[in-house]
Amino acid sequence: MRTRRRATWGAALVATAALVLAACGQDDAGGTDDDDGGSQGENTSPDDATDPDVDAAEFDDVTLEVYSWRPEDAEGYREIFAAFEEQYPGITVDFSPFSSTDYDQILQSALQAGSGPDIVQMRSYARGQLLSDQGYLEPITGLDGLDAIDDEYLEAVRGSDGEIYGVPLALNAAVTLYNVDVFDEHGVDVPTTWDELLQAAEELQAQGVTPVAQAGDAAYLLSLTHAAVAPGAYGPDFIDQLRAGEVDFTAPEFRASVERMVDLEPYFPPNFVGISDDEARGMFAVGDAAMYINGDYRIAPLRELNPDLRMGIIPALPDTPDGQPQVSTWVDGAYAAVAGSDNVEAAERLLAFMATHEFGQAFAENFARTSPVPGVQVDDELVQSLIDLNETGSVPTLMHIDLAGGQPDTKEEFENALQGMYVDAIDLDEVIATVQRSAEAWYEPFQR
Amino acid sequence: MTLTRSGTPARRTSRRAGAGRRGRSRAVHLFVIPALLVYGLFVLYPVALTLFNSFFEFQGMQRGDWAGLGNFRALLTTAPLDERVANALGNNLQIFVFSFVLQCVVGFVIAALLYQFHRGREIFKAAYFLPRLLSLIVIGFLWQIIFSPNLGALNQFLEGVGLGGLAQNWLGSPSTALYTVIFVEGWYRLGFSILVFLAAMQAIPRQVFEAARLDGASGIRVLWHFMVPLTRPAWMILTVLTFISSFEMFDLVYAMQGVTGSPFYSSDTLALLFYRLAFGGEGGAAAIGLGSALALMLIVGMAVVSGLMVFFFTRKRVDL
Repeated sequence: MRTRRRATWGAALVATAALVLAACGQDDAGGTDDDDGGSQGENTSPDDATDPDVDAAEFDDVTLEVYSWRPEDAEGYREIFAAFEEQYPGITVDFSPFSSTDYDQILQSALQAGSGPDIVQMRSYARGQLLSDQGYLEPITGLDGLDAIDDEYLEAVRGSDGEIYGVPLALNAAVTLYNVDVFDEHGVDVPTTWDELLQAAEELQAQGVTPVAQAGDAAYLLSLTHAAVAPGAYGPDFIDQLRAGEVDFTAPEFRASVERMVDLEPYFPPNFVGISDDEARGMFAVGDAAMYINGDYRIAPLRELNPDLRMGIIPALPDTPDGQPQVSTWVDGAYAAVAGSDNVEAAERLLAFMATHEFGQAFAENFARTSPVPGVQVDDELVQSLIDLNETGSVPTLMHIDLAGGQPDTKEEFENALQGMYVDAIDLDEVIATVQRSAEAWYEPFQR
Repeated sequence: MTLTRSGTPARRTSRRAGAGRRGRSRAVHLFVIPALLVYGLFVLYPVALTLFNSFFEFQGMQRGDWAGLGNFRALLTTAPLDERVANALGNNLQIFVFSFVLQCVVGFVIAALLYQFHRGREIFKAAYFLPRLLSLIVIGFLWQIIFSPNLGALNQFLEGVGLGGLAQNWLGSPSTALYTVIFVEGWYRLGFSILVFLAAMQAIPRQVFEAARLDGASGIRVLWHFMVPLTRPAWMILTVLTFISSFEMFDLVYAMQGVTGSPFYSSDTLALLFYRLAFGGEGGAAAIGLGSALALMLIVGMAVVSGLMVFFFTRKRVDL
């Protein structure tokens, strides 16, 4: 009996040891054996890849699988990629979109397994850098067309080794959308300064209209609202100084930006912390609310809700009439070639196509979004007004670009602190202290 | 001689039969192997991997340097992580206490009523159990709509019947958010508790209650002095299950309150915190080492407390 029990325990121990060894034996580099930073890519520089001497006919029956987190864009991409396939008849592009919320896990698993796509939609800034730093992506510095894209946007796809890893896809802008008909109907002028905006909100509220359809059940909506109004309070100089480590978040400029969030609170719907963005969007779309603050990527869903909705954009307004209206922008993802792919050369052809004016134009027209490729013009007046604003007063969105992705994540700390302020759990001073404490823990300019 | 001659082959036959039985009984153990493999792959392996990962630093999904107890230390001593852990632990404890009241105490009382009154018992049993047939995520979204402060059915109803003063921002206020989630969780699990208690009550011989009544015991005394002790195994099972479900609460609170347990972490739980750490929050970077350390603490803590609960309940047996 004792012998049998000992044998059972022995077997259990062996099994456990085998499991632990299996766990230890997992590739610590987070990739497969042949995923050594791109052996394929070492044979092919981006310059070679876009060499006009290399004939399109060299590609024969190549299928490029493209991963994306935008299932809703599938039809539009098919049209755009058809133009590329005409140029390269030997290449077929297979667009494979996944749900945005599951995308990162699916992508990581595919890259680790080494059996994944040839091109991936990569997150911008710190989250994208995690992929490039792990050697999963092919460096494309020098790819045709990249030099035309603004350096600020290329920072979104730069790895910690200084190389460029992706072609920036879209620009996001945090904006205040206003319902043109509601403003007209109530005789309210479109504001040009912050005080005028508060005055307009007061007039609308007095006439029974909810001035701003703001939701707050998800904290990220609040940092988005801050991004839409804050640059008017602190301006691009403050961002430069912050990045140089000359000022921190206790500066009066940042405080003024958070005070704008306090100023807006009376004009939000009652109980707004308990309502969802869907509800807020619905209020704005049907004219129950006059303004809606969110990313410009909400323009298309709003038009789906109400095709007759006439909208305008209010940028981040200055305190005085002589100030410059600004708009917070950040790069929303990019496309990158996978280093372990068998089709790196063909993938780089597609990436070069994505850096062309032709692609940028088609992207803006198909998806009502703004492209980082310069010179894109669209017939859609609303989107064109945003493109114009980007050219005259674009400022980087501080929280999304510089302060997301750390440990602790300062953007997340900030937006939750704003939520805490709105439910009276903390005050404005504590919001600022939370941001400062979080950034001090990891933000590079504060470590000097 | 006869006996010897006739006995020896009989013993041999018996020995052969015994050996055959032993062989067959040994072969039976082989049938466990597939189940053991599945268990090893989907339970033991992840647990071992989590244990292993919790001692390493991570860069995304990439395992980095050995961190020793650094991840555990960071969770318990580094701001704001220590505050988040303490806050989530406090919320999990509240969830357990109130869920115990809702699911076990209220479940027991309803089961006793159903035991006592036969009329409509099956309909009520089915009605109470019905929510269990739905996914918790679906339930979370449905109740989120009902509790919506401005357009939700609950506040509209309260205002409609002249009780507008009771209308609340149920999910948007730190003073009500957690309790609202606990209520929905209780509503979802109550039916199961009722079924378990009812089955335990029906296993008690009716003579016990008849004798007690003949001795003049009131309904409350019968409930307290007979039904509670005689359903002790059911209390044990349900208390342990309530504890486990309270401490692994994720899907419902995620569906109703988002990944940060809004507003301002007031409905945050350890499982949500684990998710944010391991997979990145709303745009945040993943910290698999920290997440694994928290998961390990959670697994060990739940195993120890569950073991203590079983010990407490089995210490004293009530036999008829």
